Amino acid sequence: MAGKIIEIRGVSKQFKNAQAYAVDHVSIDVSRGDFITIMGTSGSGKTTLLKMINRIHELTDGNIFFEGQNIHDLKVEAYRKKIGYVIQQIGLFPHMTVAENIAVVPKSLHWGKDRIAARASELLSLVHLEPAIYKDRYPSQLSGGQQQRVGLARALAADPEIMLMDEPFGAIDAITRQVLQDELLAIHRKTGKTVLFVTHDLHEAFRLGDKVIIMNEGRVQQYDTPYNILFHPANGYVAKLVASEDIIEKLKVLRADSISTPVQVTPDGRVPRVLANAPLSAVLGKFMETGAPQIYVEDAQGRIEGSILWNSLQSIASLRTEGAEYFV
Amino acid sequence: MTGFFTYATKHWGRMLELLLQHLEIVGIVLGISICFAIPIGYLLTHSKIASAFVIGLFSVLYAVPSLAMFAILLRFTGLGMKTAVIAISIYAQYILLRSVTAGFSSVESSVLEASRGMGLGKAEILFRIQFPLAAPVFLSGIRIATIASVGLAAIASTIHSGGIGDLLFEGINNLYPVKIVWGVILSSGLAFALNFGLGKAERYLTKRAHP
Repeated sequence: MAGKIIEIRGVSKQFKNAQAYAVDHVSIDVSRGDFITIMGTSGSGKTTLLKMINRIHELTDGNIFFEGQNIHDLKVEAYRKKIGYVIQQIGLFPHMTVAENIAVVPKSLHWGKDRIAARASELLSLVHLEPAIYKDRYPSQLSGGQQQRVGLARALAADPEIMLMDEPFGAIDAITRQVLQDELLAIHRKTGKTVLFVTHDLHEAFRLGDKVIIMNEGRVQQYDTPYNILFHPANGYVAKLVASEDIIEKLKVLRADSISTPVQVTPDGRVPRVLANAPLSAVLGKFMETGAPQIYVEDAQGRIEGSILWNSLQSIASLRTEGAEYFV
Repeated sequence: MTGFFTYATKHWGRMLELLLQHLEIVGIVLGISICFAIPIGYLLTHSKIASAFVIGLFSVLYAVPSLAMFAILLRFTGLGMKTAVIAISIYAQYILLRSVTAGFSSVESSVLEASRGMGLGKAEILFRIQFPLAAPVFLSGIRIATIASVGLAAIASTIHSGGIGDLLFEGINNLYPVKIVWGVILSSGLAFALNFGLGKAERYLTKRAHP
């Protein structure tokens, strides 16, 4: 079901004893099923914006609508149960086992015992933790990466409409982070959940987001696809932000599916393939390795989503980032 | 030495009665103080200023020597157990309030944010998250308050509240060492026993909170 799931209308937030607005007249629509990353430096208002959506922070001004209803008119606990919430510090309950952690919201919604147990196992499998091994462990017996997997499973427990994620992989080592990013993308494809994901890491924002919101000083600087942000920055701030990225860096952060086009003919079995979420740098490598003129983009199940021609990849390299006029 | 045991065989009935009286005072004090300290401590977690004020107030009261406290309260509530219970409860309140607020703040803010974010109500967060996690800290406060109350209840014998203090003060006033020694054994034995039992419970709850 398409359509807007979140509408943010002229939303501002001013904290007590603060002069400046943390979030300054932000208006944004989020379509159902989108994976949106919100990127900015610390103090840009990205986390504040996210936390106004589930009313951890109440807004100073403006309105937020969830499925067309003003969230201010909704009962806050019931509303939050429709939202999965994942934070950097994870916040697992140390006195509960993994399964009990996952069961908290379903229990609070009075699900039956069997249904809760089945859901916990299903979710642990989804986040690649063997249920038989992990369900009875305590958080202190897990690594940071495993804890965040449980955090993710817990947030998904009651099948929320939308996931709010506040730098969930910020405290996790680089290798594990990349694995978790890939798995999150796979989960997003599988479940179709709307995701709003805050990060201060430009690469993470581009790698994960179908669309990226760039924030600075409480304002949205650009809300667009990674491709457009890289090649058509909306203003000087964004242009500066992406200027440091040379062509190789750009290819590293753009996903294969960002430039692939649907395949018209019957797929040719000899054409090499890459995963949809592989970076374009990997696509370039594949071209160089195989010498093929065309590469197919496939999903995790091996279904072909589209193809990339050598020419279209090459044309990116010759694109100059617009906005050079911003640098004087 | 024979006098020591003969005294016990002759007067065990009274000794038991005094011991139970002592336990009664301590029990009532703890019951009342816990009932006050947990809700007050919970409310105080919502305001730093109120917390500093209330705990500051009780720390001033805590500094008043027990005999002086009894003397002040005598004017209002007279001699007897009631005055003793009120005075000792004031001391216990300070210890408990500190441990209750410390217990609540020992719960990590990320855990609270996660529980709020997932849509748990205040009562659910309190009973399912905060209490089990803060319980070991609460209990360590209860243990210290209990031991302090056992000691204070002995002194409260001076205002006719009964308890093991009777034995001690009779021994002192009549220069009768056997009574003093029994008084010491009973009161410290009681303190040791309660300390031991509550210590066990504390370790159990700690294990439950942080397995």
